[in-house]
Amino acid sequence: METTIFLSIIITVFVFCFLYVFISFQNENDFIESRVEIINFNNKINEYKGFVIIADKSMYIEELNLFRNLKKNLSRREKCYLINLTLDKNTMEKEMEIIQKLKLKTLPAILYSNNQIQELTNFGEFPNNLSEKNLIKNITEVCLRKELL
Amino acid sequence: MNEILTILLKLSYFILGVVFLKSALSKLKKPYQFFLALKDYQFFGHRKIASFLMPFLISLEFILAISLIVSINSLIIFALGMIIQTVYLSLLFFNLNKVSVDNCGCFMLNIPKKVSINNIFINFMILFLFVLFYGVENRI
Repeated sequence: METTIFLSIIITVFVFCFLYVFISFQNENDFIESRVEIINFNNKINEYKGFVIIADKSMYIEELNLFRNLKKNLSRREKCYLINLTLDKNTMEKEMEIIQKLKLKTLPAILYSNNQIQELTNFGEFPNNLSEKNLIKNITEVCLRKELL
Repeated sequence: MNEILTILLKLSYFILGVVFLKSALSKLKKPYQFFLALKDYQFFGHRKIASFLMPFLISLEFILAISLIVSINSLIIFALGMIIQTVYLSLLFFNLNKVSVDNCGCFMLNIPKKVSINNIFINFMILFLFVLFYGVENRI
């Protein structure tokens, strides 16, 4: 009797856990898939109106939750695009040209695009010891303040 | 004597349970990173297989951790432990000396960034512990 109850609990936990991981994974996968390559972004720069987050491939994966929450916060005000820097051998030269054209010195950077594109802030402007929650809060505040200007 | 052995066994189950719980929670928090790490290994190279097996493995590991901490049924613990450790050992064995590119290095117990003989040894010892615990419990 004890084993049957335990087994039922274990199976229930397994099912919930499986669904939780599966759904979380699908959401994270959708987020990663929504990134636009920087070369494609540069070709149709006028089509992008709103916030633009630029980071390289590994940054998005390492700090996935941070970028997801940041995008969620910024999207409340205006559309937020994720731009991906691949830094592959074949595309590196062109990607660096675009970075120079955008006058970006530190990545990840957050820009605002509306006819003309300008940098609002970058991660280098914030102290390293900030918690993820505070970092997102501070970045969002700076972006929204500068966007209004 | 048997009472001391039972207490020692429960304590060992608990310690192993905490190790598995820590490992499962780190995977639960980072499913995408775990998926990338699995995808980099041979066997799970195919995206669809990795995306289905990833939640399956994490869930199995999570319920194994709970079973170990509660330690109610030794057969369930033994079966779950054997399944999980066999999967991880096979993965490590077939990827020995491989350095994964997309692996974040956050799952050092079972899916390390660089697979070494040490990783295989540790996982083999964990597998051996499951056999040992099951054997001891049946003899008490």
